[in-house]
Amino acid sequence: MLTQLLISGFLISAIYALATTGFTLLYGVSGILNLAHGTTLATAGIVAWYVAGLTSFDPVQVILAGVTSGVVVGLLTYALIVRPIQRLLGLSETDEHVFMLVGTLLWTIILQEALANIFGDVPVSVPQFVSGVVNIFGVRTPISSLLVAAISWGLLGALWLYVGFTKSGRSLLAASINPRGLVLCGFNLALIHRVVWTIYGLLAGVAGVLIAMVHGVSPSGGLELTATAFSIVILGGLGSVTGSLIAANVIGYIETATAYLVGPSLRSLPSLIILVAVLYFRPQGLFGRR
Amino acid sequence: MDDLTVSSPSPLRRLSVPTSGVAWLAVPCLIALPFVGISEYAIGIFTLGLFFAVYAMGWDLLFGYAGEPNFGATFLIGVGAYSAAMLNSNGIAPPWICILAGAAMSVAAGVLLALPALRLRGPYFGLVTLVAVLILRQLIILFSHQTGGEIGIAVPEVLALSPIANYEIALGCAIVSAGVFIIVARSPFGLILQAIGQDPLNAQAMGFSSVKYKLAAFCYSALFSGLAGALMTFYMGTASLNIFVDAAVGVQIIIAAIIGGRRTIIGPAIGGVFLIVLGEYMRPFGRLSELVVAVVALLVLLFLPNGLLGLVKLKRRAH
Repeated sequence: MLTQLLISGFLISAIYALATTGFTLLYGVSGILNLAHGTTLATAGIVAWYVAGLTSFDPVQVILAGVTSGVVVGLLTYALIVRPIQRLLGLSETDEHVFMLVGTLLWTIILQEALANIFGDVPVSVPQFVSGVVNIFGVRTPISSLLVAAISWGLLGALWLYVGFTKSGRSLLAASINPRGLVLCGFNLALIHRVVWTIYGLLAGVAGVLIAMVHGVSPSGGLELTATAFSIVILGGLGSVTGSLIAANVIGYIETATAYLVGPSLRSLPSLIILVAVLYFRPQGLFGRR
Repeated sequence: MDDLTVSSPSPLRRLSVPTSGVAWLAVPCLIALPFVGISEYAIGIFTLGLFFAVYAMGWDLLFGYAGEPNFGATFLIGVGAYSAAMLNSNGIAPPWICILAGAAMSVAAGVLLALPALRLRGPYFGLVTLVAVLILRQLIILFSHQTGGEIGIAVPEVLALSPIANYEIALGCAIVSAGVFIIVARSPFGLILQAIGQDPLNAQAMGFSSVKYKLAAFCYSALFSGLAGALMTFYMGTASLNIFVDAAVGVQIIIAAIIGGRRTIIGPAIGGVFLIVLGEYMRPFGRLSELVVAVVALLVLLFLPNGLLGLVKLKRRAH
């Protein structure tokens, strides 16, 4: 029972970590809370499902399709919603925050309804990449779940290398610390923002495909994914990638434990309560900077 | 229009423009509306629109004046609606008592929601309100024996049978709310509230207690949101999660307020009715209707950030 819980918690946490990293990176660098996040994930998953059904099933093609749609949706969000709102004149800071939240929420509805019109509003799932189960300490675990966890952590490792050890990655880090200083050093901030949105789309694309494989996604399920991502990011601290990685594991395990011990229908209640407590007593989250 | 400062009284004078002459003409027109031969179906739509208008006005008092982005308007509405419905379905009290009790419970919920607002700023507060809705939803599902869970709870009694009477009840609620909100917003209280919303530090340095004023603003907003929620429960005959305790409905309320024009009270009311009527008009198009409504709202957000009423004011200033 305990090993079962530990293993499924680990698998869920890996996906959560991947799915929230893009979200938190985006906030860290450009200060945008993208409420269309869950729907971006769902879009990638649904397109991947569609491609998987079209061709003879090829994992590489499926992931590529998901990543492409993730990047396209990410860049569209930036070009159609975020940029225009940032350019509006005469908005106070609070106004801009609320406009951004409302704008991305409207974008969620638009995406969701478009998806439902094209593909139908039904839950779909991408077929498992590999079949078979392995026995880990007496718990039968699908190999493809292990593969999902490996892909997640591998991608996160790659991101860590990119941000820490390449020039373009370091400029992202700099943009999150002091954008004005970066501009004064001669960097093109607009370009950096486009890079961030591209990376965001890439991460969301892969995460969307993986979620579609493990849980299944549906057009209207996007908001629920956003809510989970939100609890994780708030718990870890807005904009802190390390924080959201740790929080992803905390929330992942708590949700799994609740689902096993209390009942699946209440799985999100404890994390919501933790979320409120964190917001109330430590609004910057466990590792937030503010 | 967004350069409101406390020192200049001009925003208040500007605020009075749409509310003075036009308002006195609009009230009798609205009262007479169901008698000009429109269908009962249309009257029903306007009734819903009026309830929605009250929600949007309540939101505007909190955001436009106190500067608190409340993403959980349905938390207040839901508490009012469910309190009234639970009292009535158990046969404890007659409708009017239930409605008053619902409004009172909603005020209590407003105080609860105001607590984080005293500690948190801007987006963080917005998130707490959003989460408040999600938690209320979970609690209602958890105690489904008393609350009807995901199916909802039926109300056995009604306030009035005829659509016209229901319309006039909703209209009465909307007019009283609008009157109180406008008086509050234009009073010294409203001015201080704006000051606290825009620069809490300075306002407190001038000796105004932000706790007292914000708490009062939440109570006003909650009182009328809960009242309208309870009345709407009796109108619909049921309280259900997807109508009263839904984050998406809360967002619709925000959209209505922005479409109509923030910081005007009357604007959000117009926006609320407009949004309901537009949604109903588009209903034959099925799922496409929600898409179109969202696109329209997004276009208004991007191209008319001050809302429809903002457009009117711009024209007036140009003269």
